Amino acid sequence: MSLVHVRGLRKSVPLPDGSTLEILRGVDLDVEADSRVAIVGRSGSGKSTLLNVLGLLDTPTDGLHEFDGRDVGRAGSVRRDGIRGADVGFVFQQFNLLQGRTAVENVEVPLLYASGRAFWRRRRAALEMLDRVGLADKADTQPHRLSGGEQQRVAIARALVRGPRLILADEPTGALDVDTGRVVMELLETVASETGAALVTITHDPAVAARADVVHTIDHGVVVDGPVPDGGGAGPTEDVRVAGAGVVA
Amino acid sequence: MNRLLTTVVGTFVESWQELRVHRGRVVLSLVGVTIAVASLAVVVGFGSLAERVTAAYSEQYGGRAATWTFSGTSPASSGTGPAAVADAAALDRELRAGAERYRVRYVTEATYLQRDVQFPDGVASVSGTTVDPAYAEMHRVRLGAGEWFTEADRDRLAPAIVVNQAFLDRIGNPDISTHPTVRLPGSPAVTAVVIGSVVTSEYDTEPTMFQLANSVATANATASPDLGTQRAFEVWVPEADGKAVAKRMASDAERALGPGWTVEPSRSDAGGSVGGDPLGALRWVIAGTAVLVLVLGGLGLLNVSLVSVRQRIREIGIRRGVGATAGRIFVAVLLENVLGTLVAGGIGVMVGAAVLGNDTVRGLITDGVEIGGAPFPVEAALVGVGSAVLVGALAGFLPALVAVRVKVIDAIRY
Repeated sequence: MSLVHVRGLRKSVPLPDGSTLEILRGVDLDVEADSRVAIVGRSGSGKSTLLNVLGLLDTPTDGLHEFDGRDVGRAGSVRRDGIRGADVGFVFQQFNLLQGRTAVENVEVPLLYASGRAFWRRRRAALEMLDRVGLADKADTQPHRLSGGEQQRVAIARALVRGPRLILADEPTGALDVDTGRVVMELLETVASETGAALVTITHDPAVAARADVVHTIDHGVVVDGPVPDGGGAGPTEDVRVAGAGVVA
Repeated sequence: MNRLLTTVVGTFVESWQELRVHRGRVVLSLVGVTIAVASLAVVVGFGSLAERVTAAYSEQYGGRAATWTFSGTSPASSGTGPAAVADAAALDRELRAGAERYRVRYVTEATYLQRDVQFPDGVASVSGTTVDPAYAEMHRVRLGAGEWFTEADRDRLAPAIVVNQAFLDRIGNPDISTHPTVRLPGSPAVTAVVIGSVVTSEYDTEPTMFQLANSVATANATASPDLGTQRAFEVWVPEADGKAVAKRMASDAERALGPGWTVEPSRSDAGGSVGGDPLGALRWVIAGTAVLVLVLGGLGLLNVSLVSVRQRIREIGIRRGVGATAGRIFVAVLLENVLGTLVAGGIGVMVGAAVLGNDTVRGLITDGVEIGGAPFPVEAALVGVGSAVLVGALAGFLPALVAVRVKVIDAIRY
């Protein structure tokens, strides 16, 4: 059974002029536990929307969305919040660290919403996670005093501190130089691998995509098998289910 | 249970961190609340002190609740001749007998008196009251020095008197323990011993005195033709059945004294005033002012909270992204305001206490009247902190609602 199982996923939003914009138009996708998946595509193709739906930040308009065998597409808000907190970790392009809080306080934040031992031992867990991303000595440093790469490592530590089963990374290297981006990706993959989490990365960067086991291309709201056609005209008229791996060079 | 505990503690931790991180904004937004609460505490405290002053005045002159005053009229009572004196004595006797019959413990004469006193700078007419020892308890008389009357003082040939500070000042402010004396001219002239001084308003500049009823010396004084014979008596009885007791005592006295007598009981303490609560109007004015002050403070806080929550939309989105439920965000934002206003309320109350504790300010409110009780009214502190928390909750509600309605995706990209 796949960790994430999506069939015919649609997402549309109403526009001010009364028309409807279809962002996702029937996506089929499976993400296996412990796998590395990259999703590539041009700007506006629906990558981030798909990631938000997969991460339970957004709700689909239609279609099936299962997480670990549970239908989460139609789940209530509280249940979705609970699953997201416990099983999903996000890494954003802009790091999205909370300003005014030290690195360790940022890493602690997800554990404020945990219960039991994880909650009471949150400081120790956060320090251990910072140690794993190589920032033990920066635990008490404010984000604005950290470099871009260090900030992203703090964000990774925060995403992983509750031991999620799915890590969703939205352009994690987009704000970093090439070398730092490579180091961050290696770290992300290593820590994900150690914790047994599936890693889904959205990227424009072919080098980042190439690191994945599986690469899906999304175009005009559907997942297509293989690279995006030149010209960016009309996308496929029917949904395409990606069963294998289309590696983007 | 464990889940509930971690949720509660977690929400507090979250709110406290927010307050700490945004302390600059928080301090600014709470300045208004602090000032409002300080004003409120001062207003409520002022009201409370003013009430105590009014009550002290009222008890000093009218007695404690419920004090009933008896006045009797007979065909001869308005005169000054021997018949009138005999009538006054008969009324005295019957009322005291009635008090004993109905087991009224507190009974006192409270007859207005006016006597000449020989001061070092000349003779002056001094007003005062003829009383029994129970008068002190019934009127909360506070002694500044010396002692109040006891039953034994009735037998003194040189009458004992208790005076106010102005009286003492006129005779050179002697030490009471040295048994200072003053001469009371008249027929017969007597020398009185000052045995105590009472505490009254410091603005009370006219000398006054108390003398003991039914004493050897008073009997001499009332025999004097220049003194009136109208006498007043007071009893202090429980409020609930006091009226019935007073009416029975009056009718018993009338029966015993015979035809032509009228004995009228009337309630003399503040609680007996027409219209019920004598301080009702003052309370309403104070409450109205306090509410106005608080509403203004609350509106200021609401404004700042609404603006700040909009500036924190991204942060709220991030929190939602890492697992915070909408309910948790709502409570956390609400709690931030409540925690903040709790601290502001505490500071406001301290400021209020400092203002009211100032001797000059206090002197202006109390008008020099000595009142007991806490230096800063407890109710002012409670009202101050309580209303601060209430304002925090109310002013936090709208921002919390805004925070909950934030769409996570939009918030993260904000």
